[in-house]
Amino acid sequence: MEPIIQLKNVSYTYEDETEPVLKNLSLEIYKGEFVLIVGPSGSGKSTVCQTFNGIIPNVLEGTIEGEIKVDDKDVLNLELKDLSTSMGLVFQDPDAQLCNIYVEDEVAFAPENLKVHPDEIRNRIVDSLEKVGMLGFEHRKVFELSGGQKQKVGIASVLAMKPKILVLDNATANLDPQATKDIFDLLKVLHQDYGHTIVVVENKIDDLIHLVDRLLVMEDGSVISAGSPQHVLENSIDKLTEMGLWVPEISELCVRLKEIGFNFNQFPISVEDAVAELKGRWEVNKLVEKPSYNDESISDAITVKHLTYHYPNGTKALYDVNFSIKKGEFVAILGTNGSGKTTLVKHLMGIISPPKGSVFVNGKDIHKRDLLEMTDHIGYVFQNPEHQFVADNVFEETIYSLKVKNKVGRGHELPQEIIDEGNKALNMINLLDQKDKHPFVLSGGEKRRLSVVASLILGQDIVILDEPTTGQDYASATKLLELCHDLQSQGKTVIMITHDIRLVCKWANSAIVMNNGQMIFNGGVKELFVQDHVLKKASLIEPPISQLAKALSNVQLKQGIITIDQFIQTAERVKEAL
Amino acid sequence: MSLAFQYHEKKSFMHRIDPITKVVWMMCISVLVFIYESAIPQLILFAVMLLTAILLANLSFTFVIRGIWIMALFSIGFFIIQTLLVPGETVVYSIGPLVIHKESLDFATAITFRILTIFTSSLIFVATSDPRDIVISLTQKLKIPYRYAYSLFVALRFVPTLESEAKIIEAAQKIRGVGKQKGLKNKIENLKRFSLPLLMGAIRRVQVTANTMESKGYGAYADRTYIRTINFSKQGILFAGAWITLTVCLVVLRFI
Amino acid sequence: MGETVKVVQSPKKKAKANRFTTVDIVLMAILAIVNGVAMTYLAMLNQLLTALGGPILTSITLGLYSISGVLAAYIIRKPGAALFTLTLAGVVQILSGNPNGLISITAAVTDGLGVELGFALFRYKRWDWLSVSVSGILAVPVWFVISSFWFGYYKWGMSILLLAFGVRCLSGIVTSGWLSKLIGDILVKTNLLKGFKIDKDRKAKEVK
Repeated sequence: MEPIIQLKNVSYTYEDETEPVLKNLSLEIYKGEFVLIVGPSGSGKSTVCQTFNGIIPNVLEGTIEGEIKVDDKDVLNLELKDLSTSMGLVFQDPDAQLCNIYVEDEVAFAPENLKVHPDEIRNRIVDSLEKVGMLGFEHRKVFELSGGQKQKVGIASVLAMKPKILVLDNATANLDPQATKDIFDLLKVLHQDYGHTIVVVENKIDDLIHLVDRLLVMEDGSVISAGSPQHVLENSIDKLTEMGLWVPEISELCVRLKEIGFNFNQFPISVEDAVAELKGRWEVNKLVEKPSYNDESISDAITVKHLTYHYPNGTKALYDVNFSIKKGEFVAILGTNGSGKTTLVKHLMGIISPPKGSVFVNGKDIHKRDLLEMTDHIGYVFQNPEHQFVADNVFEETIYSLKVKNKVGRGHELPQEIIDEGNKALNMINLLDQKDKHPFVLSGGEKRRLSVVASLILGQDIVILDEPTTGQDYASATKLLELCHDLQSQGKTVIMITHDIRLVCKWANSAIVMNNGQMIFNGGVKELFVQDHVLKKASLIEPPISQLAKALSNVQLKQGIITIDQFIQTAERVKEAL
Repeated sequence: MSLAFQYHEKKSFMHRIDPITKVVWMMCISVLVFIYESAIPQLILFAVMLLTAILLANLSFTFVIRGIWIMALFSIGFFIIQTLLVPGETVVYSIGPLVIHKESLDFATAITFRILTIFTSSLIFVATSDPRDIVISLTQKLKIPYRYAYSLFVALRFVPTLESEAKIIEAAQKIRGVGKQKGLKNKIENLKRFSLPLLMGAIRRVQVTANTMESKGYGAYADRTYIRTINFSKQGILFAGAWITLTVCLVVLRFI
Repeated sequence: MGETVKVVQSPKKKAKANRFTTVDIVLMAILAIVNGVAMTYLAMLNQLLTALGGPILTSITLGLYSISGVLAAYIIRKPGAALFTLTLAGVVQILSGNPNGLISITAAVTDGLGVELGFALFRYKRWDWLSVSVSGILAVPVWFVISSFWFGYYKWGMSILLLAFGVRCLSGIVTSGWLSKLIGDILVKTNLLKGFKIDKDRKAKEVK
């Protein structure tokens, strides 16, 4: 079969740089294939995508060598407009890639530029919006849509060029799990029903991997491994983990099972695969259940009683929320976007002032307490660390709040205690050697860790984090969670809004689930995943391991099995029982 | 006050007229307010604007007032300063050292309403013109290359995104303790703290946005097709013609 | 099959070096609004000055209105960047229902022309404290003349007018010229401006 995309010995160096991003890279993608590309950040994934449609070298200048053929066209000697009917590219940031005000204009934008006749464009608008399930949104304003809807419009807008190939470069990184799943379902339809060739670059591949024909692994500017997902995962999963990538939880488990002597006919990459392989060979019913977290003697860090809140426009945002969080706990707050999670934590912080008698921090009612005063008790880490940066270098950033509190102005000499505190904090996140850099030039993961320690420099014993791992690879998400775990072992209470179920399972003790402004669950993480109605109501996507455990269990589990270690332990218990 | 565009989707005479004709109309108004420096003609012009807004543009009186009240507040201050600073002869009123002259009062009234008239005409234009039609008029009628005219869409598209980002930055920094320190120097420092992340976030998007636009064929050809078209209507031509005639007559009358 | 090596910077592209690229246009669009958005959130500083009073003190911050133009020119370094950015900013202001209709466009255009003239005097080759100062100042005079007729300032007497003019020029230098250079230099250090002329110039300098 003829490849539809073919790169031969391609090397590319960005203008003004010496080190090439792509090094002698060759790859082939065949017509009608669904290909997934993974690789650590900086491995050249995005750069490759941009060579497919000629952004490189037409827009981003540099030096390029080799041969690139897409849809029988020689990319290096053509202009962008000649390639646009061959492939469409969708990027990560939904806000950056939509440049029109109305949905209809966004979809019409490309064909208009390519001088397609207006009548034909009208047809294409209907077609493209229908394919992505956004028919009826023509006259809506782009910026009023949700993130998932924006990405669908982004896909529709490239479909309007009638491309054979669709390339998505990390297009779901900013979306919540449900929206991500919707996009993946859409890709499935576009691939199977409409015959598009699809190339996807993704970080989190649990819900995608079973759709994929072939998996390419990139490292340091070249493809280091390619093949069916089963083959690649079975043989190089350790390598992928080492590179800091998210790997499918099921495959990770199966590699562990192989180590303890299991053989598979076909290496499982999805829950269905694993059930088929393990049914009858593995039984999950002997787990000794112990209560996950309940020590009455510890006092509450936060207590919320009958909290109800309406937005200024009258919509109900929170309704009769009651819970308490014990000191030293690690709590995840879960729920879809718009379920009231952020509104809830804003009350804990006093960003929205709670009514009298409804929110207590360390036993004290915070009604009418000043936000600035609350910062002495709670550290609040925003989603985008850059928004919170206030100083010109990393060290000043770390100690900023201390300086404000102790009224150390410009020109004053810094007291030694403050310097020590700052050094200690930076040491904890291994940034001491970068203390003179501008905070904005740090890597994404470093920025986040810096914003955590800077927010906690006053020694607050409660920290609230708002979606701190969104869009990060496994390595940097894990580092952040390890930092939170360190804070927890120092006795601090950690409260985290997140969509990352796998991280929750691994690190959090308990969970609060919000849905339509109401709290529908408050308890241990393990207990959460046996309550199917809660999972369904809040559109929570169950971790694959828990789905597998349920499918293999003959009895109703009282606690979910939510990590690979726990799953393996159920086997050891079986052995013990034998 | 938000920077978001204020177009009001409605049906009215002014909504039906294309943007270029409306700009001609606004220019006539600008010339007219410029040639008079006394109160009576300026008051008449302002009244005409109010009537246009309500009768021809189907805008409610409260909408107009809400639209111009900040300007009206500014005008009051402006009016007082003008009354006091502009020299005159006929004394109307005096309190101690403050003397108010008839001529200055007349002049101040004229200038103040000049501002309000211009502002109201602009409000009518904005509320009745779809930004899409404005951009399309620029390219289809005024032959401005669409690559440049389109920048207006890009700008308008990103206003709400930046505004919500600005809100978040404000809250995020308040939590860090920004605002605890007083004094002008710190205020200026805070200005920098606030503006830089906003600017950087926006600039980070620039490259991606430009790449997407280019891969969607932006600038591939000198011109493009449009699913919307703009036509000059008979009504519009009559409307503009009437205003031009009126303006020319009044200018001639004024300077003879 | 022979290996093709392509160094991408065709002579065609070089000949059009002064034409705005798509990135330039998007950057100008963003700069045109970012100032307006920031200003609405930073009204406090203006309130302070207005409260302290008078037509002269409000002139202090006047330079901030032309800062996006100077900054655009300082980053893009092509003729027309300042004029384009400021005109666009003016149009956005009008559409948001903000100031004086056609008047604010006139102000934006005259400011823009002034800034352009400033950089043109240095043939778009000098980008230092001096050229940004000159451009900052030149944004002031034309609009000052028009506005004194428009708002009737011309009746105030020469001394007040001269004082106001002086303050505006100073504001042009500091809050428009110098501030643009400061911001531009910070941005280029964070590597966000890769590909723009300002970054290429910086790297060329480092090589020397």
